[in-house]
Amino acid sequence: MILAADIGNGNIKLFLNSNHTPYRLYQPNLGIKRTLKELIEKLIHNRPDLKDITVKAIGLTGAGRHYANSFLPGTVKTEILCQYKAILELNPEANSILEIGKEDSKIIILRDKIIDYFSLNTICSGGVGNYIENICFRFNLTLEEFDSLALQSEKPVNIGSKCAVFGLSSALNYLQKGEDIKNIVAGVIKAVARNCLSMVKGRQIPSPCIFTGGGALLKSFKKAFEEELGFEVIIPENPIFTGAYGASLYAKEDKTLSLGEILSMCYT
Amino acid sequence: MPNKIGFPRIGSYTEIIAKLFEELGTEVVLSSPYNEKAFKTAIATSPEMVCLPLKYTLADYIDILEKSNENITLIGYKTSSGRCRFHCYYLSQTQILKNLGYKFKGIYPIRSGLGTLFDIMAITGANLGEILFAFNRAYKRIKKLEEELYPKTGDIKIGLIGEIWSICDPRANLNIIKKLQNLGCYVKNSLCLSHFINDGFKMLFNKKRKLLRKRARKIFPELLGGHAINSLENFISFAERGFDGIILIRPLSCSPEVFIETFINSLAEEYKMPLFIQNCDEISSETNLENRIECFIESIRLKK
Repeated sequence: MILAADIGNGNIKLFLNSNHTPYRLYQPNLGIKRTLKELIEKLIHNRPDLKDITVKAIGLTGAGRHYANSFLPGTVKTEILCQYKAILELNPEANSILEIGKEDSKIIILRDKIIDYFSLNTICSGGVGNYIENICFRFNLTLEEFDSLALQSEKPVNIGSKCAVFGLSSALNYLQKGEDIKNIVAGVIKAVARNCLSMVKGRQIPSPCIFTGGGALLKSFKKAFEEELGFEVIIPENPIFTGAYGASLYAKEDKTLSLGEILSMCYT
Repeated sequence: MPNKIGFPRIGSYTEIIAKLFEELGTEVVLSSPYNEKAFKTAIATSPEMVCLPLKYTLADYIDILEKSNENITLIGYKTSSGRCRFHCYYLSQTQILKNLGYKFKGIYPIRSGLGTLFDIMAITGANLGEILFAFNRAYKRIKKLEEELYPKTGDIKIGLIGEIWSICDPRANLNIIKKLQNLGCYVKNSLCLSHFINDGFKMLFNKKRKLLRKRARKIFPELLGGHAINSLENFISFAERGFDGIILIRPLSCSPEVFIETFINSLAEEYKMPLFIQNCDEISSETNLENRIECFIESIRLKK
């Protein structure tokens, strides 16, 4: 059995591969030790049959990988490499990868199946999932409601894409003018998509492009990217877990641990 | 009584510059490596969208003035090309310091090139001969320091380009050089202080360097301040010398470096050279940077 964790700033994602049967679990990151502990406890509770199976390899990725590695032995790889590995495994034809997380967004451009260029959002939060969640919170919408409203809009408003704080003010400004909420949320999603794509600084994003991360769960996001790019983007199955899946592919099989032992390491 | 001076820190070179001035008979008041209170005051009083060098050098001045009495001359830096905002910073800094109620003799901006010698003559009162000897000793110390700072070991060759102050001051670049070296990189800095001093001579006598400057000028024929033209020529130089990756370090909103970004990106595509841009600002996060450079180096290793 291989256990992999993608420790993002927003959520921690667990991916378990037992005899080629995957099992996936995630929850918001409320401190790495605490969240990992809760996730593993939940895992043992949901799948008691896995409790005594030996974990041969552990893979760690995401922004908190080094801290997690301080109490959990495993193979540590950056999220860029893990996404790359996973996507090539899932879709060998891929030429570019878009990943929108809660606090981070990335674009990876491949050439001859090798990473040619990558970009992570740097100084601004205008291109990440958190922006959308803030808008949902302010407009009292669930993500599903946001998504379906955005899809209904035919005339998205123009919202600044540089800064999440000013973007919210701009969205509220449209509300004051009596604009239909569906056009505002569609404007927001377009702004976020534009911001992400501006990270490549004029480079071409080649097709086929794989869209992954939590952002890929929103159909309106897919639509916004396709409108900006001019071609269809492909969403893999379980897009939230591609990073963790990549980490499981890198994990070296050199361990003999039980889930119980791994759990006790999170208590140290 | 000797003249008393204070100058902004520039990484590990600070002590060498202090020694140079001391050897020329001035009393030097050194600023602390990091004075949080001074830095906070500097940020609160600086213009909002100004670049990091103004904020950090202002913080150093505040720290120096907190330590010293009224009888001090502060030293500023003035770039020769003159199109970078930095050459006017001493004026706004003087005004800010006066507004804060500090009393001092003024900020004396030192020009680059031959002007440096005459400015130092004016500040220290030493003669040209003494200054040249002191410069020679300082240059040797700088070379020795740089050998220690940039050991020639590591399997990934990374070239640094960008703006000199943010490359040389670890406060600005969040110690990126050490971080890269810890990841197993051989780091070559195109803008060490010694290169900066040599640049004028090299332009006169070194054919290769002259040709590189010509090629950079062809890409960007207008005058630009800061080290933008150097960034272009150093990019070409690193790419043609087979470096594995290039990192551009600049203050956030640095106008010359922002101007050439498009050209640097095109060069990166042309040479298929991995490029990483680090914008330095007080809001930059160290863990974010660590994550990004690790991704950068890993993706280069994948390629090799």
